[in-house]
Amino acid sequence: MKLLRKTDLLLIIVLALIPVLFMIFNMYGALHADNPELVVYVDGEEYGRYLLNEDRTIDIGGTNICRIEGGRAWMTEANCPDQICVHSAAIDEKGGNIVCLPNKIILTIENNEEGSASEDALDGVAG
Amino acid sequence: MNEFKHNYYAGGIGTKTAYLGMLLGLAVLFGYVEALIPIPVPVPGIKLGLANIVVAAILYIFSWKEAVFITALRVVIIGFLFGNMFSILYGLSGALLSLLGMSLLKRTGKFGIIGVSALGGVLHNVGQVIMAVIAVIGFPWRWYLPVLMLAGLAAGILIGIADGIILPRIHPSGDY
Repeated sequence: MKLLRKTDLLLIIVLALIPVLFMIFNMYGALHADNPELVVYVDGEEYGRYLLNEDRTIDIGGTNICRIEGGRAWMTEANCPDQICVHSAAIDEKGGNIVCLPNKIILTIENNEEGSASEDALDGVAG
Repeated sequence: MNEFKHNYYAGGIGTKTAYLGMLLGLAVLFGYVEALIPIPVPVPGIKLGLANIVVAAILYIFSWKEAVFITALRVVIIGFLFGNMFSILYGLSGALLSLLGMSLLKRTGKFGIIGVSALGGVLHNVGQVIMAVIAVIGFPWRWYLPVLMLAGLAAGILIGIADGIILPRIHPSGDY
């Protein structure tokens, strides 16, 4: 009797490949934000949009407090017992999410099209 | 060595109940130990899942029925002690999907405990992500799923190795 059978190894490789391929697939759709803003969703509804380059503190519906500083955003306070969102790593212009499941709050990064430099860049190329 | 025989069914329902009660206690204790030592990880939901050592052991010593029963009790007890309604819901969806996959894979007879436990670890997190998608509108599952699958795979392999070492000693007649 061997602890690790050949079939086990094969299964592990397959189980590792699925998420790795998934990640590569995700990277193709990665965010390329030149004017990133934090978007706060509460229970599927958009709660607010805040530019990442302006430092501020946001009170989200009295249950959570989020801080934007130095181009990064993170959750500083939550009234839930698990505090998972507070312990989550800060998100920045590269994208990412912070989720508070008990309060159904999702923090995500999107590109602000209005202030985006991409239109200017197009002009620049044309000129 | 052989003089010390382990028969988890000898003595009928009483012996079995005593063993299952003890294993349930052990599973709850593992959950407590993990709640005591919070590991700061960038993605929530990543943990070793020590209690799964016990669940996989029950699956091998008894059957999937006992494993489902003890798992459900464990999740509810740990949820009431250290968590909340949400952790019970997420815990149940993860644990039951994981157990379903593990029993089916074990039934094929082609995989060892490490393979069975590895699939269990992956499915545990898949089940929790499915629950999050149901509970929270717009949950960014594309982001979380692959990371949590890899973390579950690593945890499942480690749990499988632990069970591969423990089980032949406490239940030598099993096929791992």
